[in-house]
Amino acid sequence: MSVSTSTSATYELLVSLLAKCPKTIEILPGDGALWTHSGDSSDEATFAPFLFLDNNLGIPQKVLYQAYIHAVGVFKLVRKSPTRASEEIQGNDNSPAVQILIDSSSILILANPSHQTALNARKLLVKKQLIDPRTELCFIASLLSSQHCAKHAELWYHRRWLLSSAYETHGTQSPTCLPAGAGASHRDLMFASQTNLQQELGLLSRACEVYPRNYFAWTHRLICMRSLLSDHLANPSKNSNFVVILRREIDGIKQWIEHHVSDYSAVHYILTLSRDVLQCKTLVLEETIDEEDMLAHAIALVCEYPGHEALWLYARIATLIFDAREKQQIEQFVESFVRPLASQNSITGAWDDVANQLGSSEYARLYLSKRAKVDSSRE
Amino acid sequence: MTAKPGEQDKLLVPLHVSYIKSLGNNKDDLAYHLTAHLRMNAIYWGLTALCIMGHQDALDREEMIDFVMSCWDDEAGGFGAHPDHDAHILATLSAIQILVTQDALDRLDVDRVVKFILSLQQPSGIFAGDSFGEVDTRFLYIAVNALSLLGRLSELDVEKTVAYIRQCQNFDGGYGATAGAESHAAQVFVCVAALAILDRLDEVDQETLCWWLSERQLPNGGLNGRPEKLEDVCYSFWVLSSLSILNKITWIDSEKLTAFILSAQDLETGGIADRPGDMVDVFHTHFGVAGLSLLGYPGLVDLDPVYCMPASIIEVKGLRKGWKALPRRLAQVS
Repeated sequence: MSVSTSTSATYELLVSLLAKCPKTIEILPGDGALWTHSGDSSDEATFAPFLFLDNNLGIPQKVLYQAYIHAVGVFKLVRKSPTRASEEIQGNDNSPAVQILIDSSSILILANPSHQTALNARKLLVKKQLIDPRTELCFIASLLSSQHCAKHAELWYHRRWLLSSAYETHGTQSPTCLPAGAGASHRDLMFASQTNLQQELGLLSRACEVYPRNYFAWTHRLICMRSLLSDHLANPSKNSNFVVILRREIDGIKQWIEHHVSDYSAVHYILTLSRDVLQCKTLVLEETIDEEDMLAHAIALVCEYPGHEALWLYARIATLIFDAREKQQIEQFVESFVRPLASQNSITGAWDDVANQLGSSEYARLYLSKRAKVDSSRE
Repeated sequence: MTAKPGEQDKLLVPLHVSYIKSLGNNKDDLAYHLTAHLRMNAIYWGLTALCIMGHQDALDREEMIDFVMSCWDDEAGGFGAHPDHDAHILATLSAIQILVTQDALDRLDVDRVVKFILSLQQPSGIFAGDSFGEVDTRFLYIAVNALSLLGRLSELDVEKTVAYIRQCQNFDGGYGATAGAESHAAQVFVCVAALAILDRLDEVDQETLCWWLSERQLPNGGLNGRPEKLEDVCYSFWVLSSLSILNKITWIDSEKLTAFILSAQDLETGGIADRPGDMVDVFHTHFGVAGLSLLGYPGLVDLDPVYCMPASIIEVKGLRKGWKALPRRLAQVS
C-alpha cells in the first residue's frame, strides 16, 4: 500500500499526524506489513501507511526514511531562500516558509534526533514566537516516547531549553540556590504545576523503560529534581511540598532498582540526589534521606542478587556516603556476608545468571579492598 | 563467512583501507543523509584510521581540504558538519584536526575560530556546543584540544575550566557529561585528556578511577563504557586512552582485548563493528584501530591518546604529554 502512495502525500500525512501530538510513537520494522490488516477499518484506510489508534502513532521504518529523504530536500531549499531562513522569516508570521520549516524539521528530527541544525531552526522559531513553547514541549514528549528517540542527548537538551525559558531574551532567571557541585551550572527548570512535574517524571520513567540505562534521561531527571531543590531552598516555607516529592521520588526509585537490578544509572541517580540533598544541611531534608535508609536497601539487594555489579556499586558508594551514620550496619554486612563470599573460589556462583559478569566473589573482594582503602586513608 | 583460517587473528589493513575509501561513493544513499550531521567527524575518523594504518594518502588531500572549507560557517566563525549545517564545536574540532593532519592550517582563519570557541565558555567553566547553549564535558575537551593545537591555550581561563571538571567527579572516581551525571568511559576520556593538556592530572583520583576503568573489561575481553552494559569496540579507545594517559594500561588484559577487537572485523567488506557480527561503520573502525595502536599491535603507527591523532604530528608541535602505550610488537613470522 505504501508503494502506491506518492512520497509527498505520505510526507504531508506524517507531518499532520505528528502535529496531533501523539501520546506514543513507535517505529515499526520494515514496511509495517506485519502490523496492518487488509484495510477492514475506515481508520486504517484514512491513515495508511501509518497506524494511528487512540492517539498512538505507528510508523513503518521504510516509509519514515522515504519521508526523511524528501524532508532533507525541502528543508535545505527553504533555508536557502533567499538568504537564510533565520533572517527571511523575521517578523512575518504568515510566511509559508515558516510552516515548511516547521513541517520538514519535524520529520528530520523524528528520523534523526541528533539533527542539530533542524533543532536549531525550531529554537529560532520559538524565540521569534512563531512556535508556541508549549506545543514544542508536546512535540518533543511525543518523540521521546519512542525507543528510537529516547536516548538522544539533543532532544533532552531541547526540552530543558524550553523548560528553563531560555528562549526569553530578557529572562528574569534568578540564580540557582544550590551549593557548588550540585548543579550550579544549569539554569533551573520551571514546572507550571504539580501535574506538569508528574508528567515530566512519567515521561522519564517511560524513556528509561523503553531504553534501559538511559544516560541522558536519568541526567535530565537529576536536573529536574535539582531545580525543585533549588526552588525549595529559595523559599522553604512556600515550597514545603518538596519534602513530600522527595520522599515519593526516593521510594519510587528504590522500587525501580528492585525491578531493574542491573540498572546502575538509577543507582547513580538516587545516590547523587541524596548527596546533593545532604549537602544542603537542612534538618528536615536530612531526616527524609535517613528515613529512606538506602544503605540497608543496597545491602539487602546485594545479599539477594550478589552477581550484579550495579548493586555492589550501590553498596560501595552508599557505604561511602552513609559511613559515619551507619557504622554498625556496615560492619555486620562485611563480617556476615562479604568476607565469607570473598573467600570463596572465583567460580561463578549459582545466582550468577548474567553470563558476561564477573563472579560474585570477585565483587566481594573488590568491595573489601575499597573499604580497606577508605579505612587506611582515614588513619 | 568465507574467511581463511587465521584471518580473524590479523588486522586486515588493505581491506579496511578500501572500506574507508569506499565511504564517499554513495552520496544518494539513505545512510549518507542520515549521517550528514556527522560528516566532518567521519572524515576525521577515516583519515586518522588511515594514518594509523600507514595509508594517509589513500584519500585525496585537495578534495578533503576543499570539503572542509566548504563547511565553514562565516556567520558563526566555526565549521558545520556538512555544507548546509550550522556551525558546531564538534565539527569545528574535527575540521581543525583534519587541517593539522593534512598540514593545511594556513587555510584557517585562526583568530575567528579561537573567538568562536572562547565565546562558548559558560560562567561555570563548561563549554556549550553552539550559541544555543547545550553543555557537555565533550565540548570542554574539544575547546581545550583545539586551542592547544592552534597554539592559543594561553587565552583560556584554565582555573575556571578545571573547576568545572572537578564538579563532575563522581564517587567511583569517574566523570560524566555534566556535573552530577553518571560516570561514562567516553566522558572519563574527555575529562582526563583535557586535564592532561592543561597539566592538571593531579585533579584525578587516579587509583579509584583506574580501578573503575579496569572493571570495564568483561570476561570475553571487550570493554564496556558503564557497569553492566555490553562490550563495544569504541570503548577500547575511551578506556585505553585514559589508562594510557594515567600510565596504567597494563591494568587490563591486552591479549584478550586485542582478540576481541579483531573479532569485530568484517572479513568480506572490511571495517570494524561495535561487536562481532554487527554492521561496520567508520566510527568503530577508527576507534578499533586506535585501540590496537595503543595495545602495541605490530605494524601500526603510534597514536597520541590525548589528542587522538598520529603521535608524530603532536610531537612536532611540542605538545606531547607523559602518556605510555604498550611497546610496539614485531610482526610474527608465520
